[in-house]
This record gives sequence, structure tokens and C-alpha cells, in this order.
Amino acid sequence: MSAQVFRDFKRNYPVITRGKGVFLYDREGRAYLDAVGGIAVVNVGHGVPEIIAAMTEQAQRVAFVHGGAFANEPAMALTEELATWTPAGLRHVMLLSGGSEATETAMKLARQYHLERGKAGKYRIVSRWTSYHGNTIGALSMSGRTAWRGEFVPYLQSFPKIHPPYCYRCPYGKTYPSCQVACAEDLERVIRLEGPDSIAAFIAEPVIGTSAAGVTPPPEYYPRIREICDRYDVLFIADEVITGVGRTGRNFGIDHWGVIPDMITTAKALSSGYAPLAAVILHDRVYEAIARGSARTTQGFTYSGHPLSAAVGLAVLRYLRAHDLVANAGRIGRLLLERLAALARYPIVGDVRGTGLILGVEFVADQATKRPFPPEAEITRRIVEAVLEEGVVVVPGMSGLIDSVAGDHIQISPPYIFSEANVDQLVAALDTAIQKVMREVGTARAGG
Amino acid sequence: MMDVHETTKQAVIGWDLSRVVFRDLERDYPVVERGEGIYLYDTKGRRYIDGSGGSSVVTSIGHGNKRVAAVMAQQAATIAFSPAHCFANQPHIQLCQKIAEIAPKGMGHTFLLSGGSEATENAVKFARQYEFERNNRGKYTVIGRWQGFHGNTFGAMTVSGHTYRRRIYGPMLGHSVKIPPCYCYRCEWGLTYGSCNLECARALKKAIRQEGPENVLAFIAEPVVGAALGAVPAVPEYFPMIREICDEFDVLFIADEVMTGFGRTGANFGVDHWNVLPDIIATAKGISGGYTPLAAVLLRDKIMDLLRAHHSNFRGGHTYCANPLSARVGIEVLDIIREQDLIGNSHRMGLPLLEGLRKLLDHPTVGDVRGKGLMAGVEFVRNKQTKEPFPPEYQFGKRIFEEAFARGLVVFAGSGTVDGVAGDHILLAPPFIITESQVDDLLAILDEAITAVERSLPPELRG
Repeated sequence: MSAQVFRDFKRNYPVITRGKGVFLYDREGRAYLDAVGGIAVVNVGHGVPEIIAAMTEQAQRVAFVHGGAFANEPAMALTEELATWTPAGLRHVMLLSGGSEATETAMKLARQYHLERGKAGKYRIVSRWTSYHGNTIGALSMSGRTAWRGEFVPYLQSFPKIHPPYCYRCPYGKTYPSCQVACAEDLERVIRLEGPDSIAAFIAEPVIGTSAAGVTPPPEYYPRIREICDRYDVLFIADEVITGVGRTGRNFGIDHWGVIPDMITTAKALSSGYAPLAAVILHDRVYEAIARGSARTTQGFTYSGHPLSAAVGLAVLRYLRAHDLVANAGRIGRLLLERLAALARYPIVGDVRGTGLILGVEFVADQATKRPFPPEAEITRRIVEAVLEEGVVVVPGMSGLIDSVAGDHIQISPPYIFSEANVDQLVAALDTAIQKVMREVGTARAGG
Repeated sequence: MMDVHETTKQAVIGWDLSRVVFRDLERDYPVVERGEGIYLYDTKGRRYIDGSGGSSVVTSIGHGNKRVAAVMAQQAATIAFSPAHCFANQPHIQLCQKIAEIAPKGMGHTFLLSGGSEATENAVKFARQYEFERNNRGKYTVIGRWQGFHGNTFGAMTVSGHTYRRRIYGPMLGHSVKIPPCYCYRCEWGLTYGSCNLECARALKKAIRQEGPENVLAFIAEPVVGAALGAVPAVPEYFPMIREICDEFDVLFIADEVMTGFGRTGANFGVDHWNVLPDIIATAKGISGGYTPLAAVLLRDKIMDLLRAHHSNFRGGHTYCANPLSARVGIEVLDIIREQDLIGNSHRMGLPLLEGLRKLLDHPTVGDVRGKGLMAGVEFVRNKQTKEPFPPEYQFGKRIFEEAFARGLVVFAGSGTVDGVAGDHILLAPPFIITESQVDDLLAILDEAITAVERSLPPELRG
């Protein structure tokens, strides 16, 4: 028995020994097209010499110093560079090592911001169901992901949740645009019911990640969210752990709506997976309220501002700019969305959605009624494994996206260097996999 | 490289915002340029002894190790990150095996993570999932200790007794019970070791009974208390008695070895000094020596066997928990530790370090010195007879830090030693490769720094 603890104790995992560009190779020499970018992490591709050179150079200088005593050049350079990528007014950066650390830090800074302004009662964070903000207890308290909350609920804060902006299965049974974006209005209702005096912030993924991959709210959504937050002195935290640093074809996901959040959390793409790295980016007004007040924060972890991780992040940002890869993410994303949409000719494909290179395909037993497959049919797992047999990696979306029990979908989040040929290979593999799964579950014959 | 004087001072946020915004960056916040062995060098060419392992007990094998840089480059060129939902990778598998080789016997299963807070949070989750599967679904309360520090995320803060880091988040923390630490210098019961009846260990029994054992999931403790108390080891009978009490009430024992793991105390793991087998170990810092964020949760066989038998997939984990690059670094660091007998050296150099610190007891402000291996602490007091601390606002510990820093030594200063607010200590945790003459250098600088702070004491604060 292996000493290593895998998340799925039953599965036999092929061993990856090498990666280059958009391809991964296992111990038997088999190639796989990485259409998930690790897990929405890898953007510049695997094995990029420029990143490795920056990493090596920094490792030889100094890999680690603690932020309590020293500054370091890579952290300073990275934060400065990152401040040129952000929406106006978001210029203050705290570096961390992962998405959960980032959302927890944002949560704490939101609390501190209100405390410094004499609003000691504002500490609760509103979020959405069908969301994910991390797996530590604070982050999980904000996450609307029932399966992962599970037996840990006694540890979680009872923070309010609103409905997600999930038009394919509108929680109000309405249709855009006649719905008048009722899902955004829900924020105001909840803030008023809970009492604005207790609400510190609202947190949301601009485009939903693995909980409902690729779900993108309508144009009015975030402007309305911003108005509501402003009216009740509630901070708006954009959780861009997945969407940040170009994945949606813009620097940050929220840029598609032209809305300025009070804080942005970002992680995965920031280092393209070459080192654990994340950031919280603060709007001037948040930073200044704290700087004018106690001018101290207890935020931070051992590896906050880690010089090596920062050197990697800087190299990644420069590489993305030099090769115009954010624009490529937008261009290839549009092509991919169009090609995936054509898969709706298969009766089990219910919805195809996404922005840039964060996309999702939802599967249904009946296209007309949107009736899901029973969970025990394991459609998501079947699709992911059938795609893998075709030599392409996609990631299973969280099961139960409809009601925490039923609902099947996959996430597609390739590196930004994805080419049209890669799109062809991915779509062909998915096409074959869908046909195979339809044969397995007898959908084609039964017609749903 | 960029000119640091031209940087946007506002871009980086440190712990102390005033440093970045109001003070002169060049004078107050030196920029580290390179590290070599136990030394750090800033951009002005000044040399500092890293007396606290990268300032927080991290650096095990020293800075600038060329072997680590080489394997890191090689691994990044091979595969740095691979999708963990469907693939395994060789470095990950190998590192878990290497950890199993040095772990306490019966703890052969490892889950990798990226930092200490992730490790303690996931340790609690493993514990909860294990009891849930055993149908002990009411068991969720984690008992911790005051002045224990287990991390800075909410789950970790909830079980921590670190007042400074907890207090403003009070309403956002979960339920947790705290008992006093095993801290003989300021015994909670006013007793003396030898005739104390181990009241501090028995306090766990009382807490479990008061809370109701059917509600208590686990007890979490640092074998040697780190950041919040300044390297306080427990007395020999403490952890064996803790183990007995946990067994009596079917409560899991989680050893937080984020600081003490992988040789820091002169043994593989801190609990080895007490010959006690925990159920779960959370560990981090020394495992990668700081070269990359890396942490681990070690599980006793009975936990993994049960979860496997129940097909209970673990619902913890994070993006970087299986990344091959960090694992490859961990392998190299553990190899270097083994090949150079650095755990032995940590034990050997810990002796002159502690002996030298004892000489500092001649200072009128040094109340207590303590430690285990290369993890040592000095506690400062205003009056040695009464053990009265300095007023917190005087920031005595921070002054020691600054004076030592100005003389080329980095220490870690902590406060709240007495009651969460008052009390000052420093933590010393140099890299395991330190030599005896370097220990002497460290001690000499510390001696001078203490003298300097004592000389500048205002008359009303003199003992």
C-alpha cells in the first residue's frame, strides 16, 4: 500500500512523469492533452524555460525570508507589476500561497476594515450557493458547496447565502432579460433581512468555477451588486482565484462588467502552477482605512511574500504580456465556446457556457425539461474517464450542482497557449466520449 | 535587477503597515538579496545571522543550497504541476515514502499540503471524518491550549490560543475549549514541578468531562510551544499522561509539529522525546526548509485503514496538495538532512545554545530560558523575583528584535507570554547546519542586544 494519501481512495492514478506545452506524459509514455490547465492553474504551459530560469536564479540567491523582518526584491517587483494589471484603485497587494489563504485573508481584512471605521458589528460575509471560495474553515463557511461542507458544518459560520446567477436553471424560474436580474436583487433582500449592521462583505466568483463551471452572469448583474453593496456599506470581494490574471480573456473576470471591487483574491494563474502563490489586492479605500487606523494587520502566513514564488509570479506575468496570452485566452475561448455549443446536437448536452478559457458543459437526461440524470448514473465520471481514454484531460465539475444531489457537468480550463488544433482535438475527444456514454446509459435509444 | 529605491512603496503590504507607508523603506525594511548557509545578505551588503530559521523556524538546511536549486529547475522542466484529480506523480509518491521512513512507527500515511495552517485545518478534518465514519457524529469539539498557535485561517485560529491573532475576529471564530499550557515558569496552579501532580495534564481530563466526551473530537498541542510562548517544552510525564487521557475518552491526539517536525528539536519529531504516538501529526516548515511552500498531515494507520474500508474519500485538500515541484524539493531537503546528519547536529548544537542562553540569566531582565534542540526561547521580565512583565506598550520584545537586527542577528519576537497580552519573549531557531562557533556568535550578539535594551530602559521600568 502506498504511503501517499490520495483524495479518492479507490482510484488507480496514472503516474505523470513529464509535461511540455499543453501536453502531459505518463510513465508508459502516453500523451494527454491538458485541457484543464492542471486545475485552472497552468496558463503559459508546462516546462517553459523562461519561468524555470527565473525560478533557478532566485533559488540560488535566496528562496525564503520571512516577511516580518525583511523585504525582498521579487515580492516588490511582482506586486508592482500586478498593480498594473488590476482595475483602477486596486494597487495594494498582499502575497500568499494559495486560494484559501487569499479568501480567508480577504475575509479578515473586511472585518478589520469595518472595525477600524468603528463598525464593530459588521463581520458576516454574504456569498452564493453553488460557489467555492476554499477549503479552510473560514473559506468553507463562505462556500456554497454542500458536498464539501458535509460533516464539517459544525465548524462553519452560519453566513447568509443568496441564489447563484445561473440562468440555465434560474432559481426564480424566470427568463433573462424579463427577470430583471432578480438574482442580484436577492442580495439587497438578504442584507435587509439579516440587518446591514452585521454584514461586512459580499463575495462572489465573477464567472463561477468548478461548482458550476463557466456560469457567467448577465451584463446588469455586477453593476447592480456594486450599487447594493455601496448602499449598505458592504464590501464587494471578487474571488478571482480561478478567473484572475487572464483566464477569462481580460486581466480580471470582473473587467467584463466594468465594475471595481473593494478586494480581489487571485491565485492559480498568478504562478501558472510553478509555485504555490496567491494574492489579495486591496482598493485604496480599504487599505487607507486600515493605514489611517491601527496601521497593523495580523494577516499573513509563513510563506507570504516568498521570494521564490514571487520570482515565478513575476516571470509568468511578463511571459503572459510578452506573448499576448490574455488576448489569446479570449480568442481561443470564443472559438472553443462556439465549437462546444455544437455538441448540443447530442440529447445529453444541456448547457454550454463560459467566458474566455473557463468553460463548462452540463449534461441532462432530457434537453426539453432539463431533467438531470440520477446521481448513481455517474455521468460526470463516465464522461471524464471516456475523454481521458481519448488522451484528453478535463475535470469533473462538482456533482450536485442543481440541488446538492443531482446535476452533472465538466469543467474545461486549458492553458492560454491553447491552439485551434488543440481545440479540434479536445472537441473531437469530447464528441467521442459523449457518444460512448450515451451508448453506455442507453440515452440515444430511450431519447432521454 | 530593479532599483529598490524606485519601487512603489505602497505595492507591498507587510504585517506592519506603518513600515511601508510612513517610514523610510531603505532604513527600516532592508531588502534581502541573497542567502548562504546561516547568513542572509541585504542589498547594502550587510550580513545577518538567521537566528530564527528564516525568522519563523523554517530554514533547516540553510540558505542558497545549490542542490535544491538544481533539482527544482530539473523538476520544473520535467513537470511542475499536474492535474491531481486523475494523475499521480513520482515525486509526490516518493516524498510520502520518505516521510513514512522517519515518522513515528505506525504513522505511515501522508497527505501533502502547502503550509502549516492548511496542515492543522486538514488534520482536524481527517479527525472529524474518521469519527464521523465511526458513527461518533457528535464528536467535533477540539480542545487546544492557551498560547498555542496552530495557524492563521479561521479553523486554525479557532483552536489556537493566540490572543493577539484571535481577538478582533472573536465573532467569526467557532467553538473550541482551551486548557492552560504546560508552562512551569508560570504554572497556572502556582505549583512546582515534582510536587505538582501534573495538574496541567489533568486539566485535559476535566475539560473533556465538562464538555462531554461524546462531543470531544481531539486535543491539539505543540510538543514544544512555539511562536506564542517561546520554545516551552513539556515536562517528561506530560504527553504520556495526555495520551492516556485521550485514550480513556476516545479523543484523538493531534500533534502540531509545524515547527518541531523534521529535526528542529534534535529528534525526528517533537513527540519522539516523549515516546508518545499521536493519532495525527500536522507538520510543515522544516520539511522544505523554506525553498517552497510545503506541509504534511501524517495519519496513524488505524485512521487510514478505516477511511479506506469505508471508501470515505477525503474532503479536504487544496490546489497545490499534490504538486510535483514542491514534493521534489521536499525529497532533496530530507535527503540532505539525512546525509549530513542534521538532526543529530540539531541535537548537538542545541546543547551549547541552551547552555549559552543560561548565562544570559545574569541579565536583570532575563527571567527564563528554555528549549529543545535548535528551538530555544528567552523570556524577559521587569522583576526577576516577582516575574512581573514589562508593560505591553513598551514592546520590550520588539526592542530586543531591533537591537539584535541592527547587530546582524534575526530573532523572532513574541508577546502575550503571560496572559495573551503582557509578557515578552524571543524565539531562536537557527538552521540545523549551524556550527559551535556560529552559536557563539549568535549568543554574543544577543547578549549585546539585551544589554543595549537594558541600558535604554527608563528608570521607572527598572526592576
